[in-house]
Amino acid sequence: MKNKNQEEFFSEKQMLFLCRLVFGVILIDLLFSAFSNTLIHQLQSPVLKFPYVDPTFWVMYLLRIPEFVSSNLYVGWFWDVILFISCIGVIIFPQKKWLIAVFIIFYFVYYIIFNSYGVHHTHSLIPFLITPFAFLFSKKSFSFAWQGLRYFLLFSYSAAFLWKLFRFSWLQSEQGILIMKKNLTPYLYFNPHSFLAHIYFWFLDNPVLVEIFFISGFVLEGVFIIGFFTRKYDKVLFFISLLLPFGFWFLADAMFYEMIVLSLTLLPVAAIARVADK
Amino acid sequence: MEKLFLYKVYHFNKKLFILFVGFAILTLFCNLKGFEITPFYVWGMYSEKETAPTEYPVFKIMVNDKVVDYSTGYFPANRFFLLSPLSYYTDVKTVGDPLQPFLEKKLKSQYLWLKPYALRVLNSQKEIQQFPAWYERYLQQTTGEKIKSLKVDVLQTSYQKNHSIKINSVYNLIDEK
Repeated sequence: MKNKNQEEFFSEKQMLFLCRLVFGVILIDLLFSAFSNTLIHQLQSPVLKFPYVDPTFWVMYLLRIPEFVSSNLYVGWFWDVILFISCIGVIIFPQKKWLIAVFIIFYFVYYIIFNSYGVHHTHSLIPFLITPFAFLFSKKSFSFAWQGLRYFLLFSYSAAFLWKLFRFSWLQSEQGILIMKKNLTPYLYFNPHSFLAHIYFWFLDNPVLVEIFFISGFVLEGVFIIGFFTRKYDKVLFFISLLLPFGFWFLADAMFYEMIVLSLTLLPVAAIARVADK
Repeated sequence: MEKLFLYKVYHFNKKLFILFVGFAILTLFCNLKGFEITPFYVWGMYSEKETAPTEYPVFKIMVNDKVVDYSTGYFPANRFFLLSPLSYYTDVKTVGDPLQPFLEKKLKSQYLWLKPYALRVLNSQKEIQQFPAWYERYLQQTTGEKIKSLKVDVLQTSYQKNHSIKINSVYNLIDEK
């Protein structure tokens, strides 16, 4: 019979495995950023900022930190190099908490720069900003912090469901089609004869299917509410959490693959142990 | 009760409990008020009601007289940085930073207190005028091509009954030679 602690708490080895896994995904994403020309030194000293009404962004701009980092090529390079080195450092030495702290500080500034000079406060980088915090905790606290991240994930999808529910957008006629047209018109204009465009045009010919697609996503987001009451269906939620980013990509041309890092929190300790303890 | 996550945290470590509860309360508060203060996020995820626009704008970017098809062959983050600031520039080019009237309307007389700080955060006319030069630099970084000329047009398009896309009008946004 399994010890209850083994069901709920991670061993040191499992925690370090998760740390390496998460930072491995972050490293891949940083490489994507390099190919995307969105590392700080590649931004070419951007000028238009969008702090919006987020006080955290305001404080950063009042301290002139984003301008200082992004407007000087050498500082930009320094920032990017430290991001990579600290991320690789954590993968090699996951037990070094100071390396994780350095990564979080540098990534936080990167997050502010990306969202404000990208002129849209996208949520895609949030999982990479939030998840590393869990690894700053001691072994036993880590299991609680990891579960806290699970609730963070449950909240994000549940909130998306509730916002749609109370804004009645799920009742709005052609909501799915309008989202699709708003985000995919440039693609369809430039590539009307591609295979993917044919799929989109087919969906535009069958708008009911797009609405079913949108409503299905809305319901699937709502399913995450169950996770607040029981962990019994976490495997199902894990599967759904892998499907939803695909849905966002298809319907809105928005990539939320970073959320998959948080999806790991839905896996039971035993599943992590099977891989980590090999 | 013993099965509750927060109950377990409370008995394990009171400080951790306060941290979790504080984070949850502030997140709920921000969501109920509808404003976002990093890290207390509001997860709307396409929840706003969409209304059918009369036209869909499409940016036509011409580098050295060749059209840049940003819709394929670029990573999503790259596309985001090519389009989102450009879209914002179309809004601010003539009227200035829309955040200023928004704050004045929202805060009324309290805006006077915030004004000296707001000016450090809002986009000035000088910064808005610098945008085309920055965009050229960033496009050069992205395409790897030395840019001799840059032209950005906004195509106002609409869908026809057979779903083909028709250009209704065109206006120029950037013309750098």
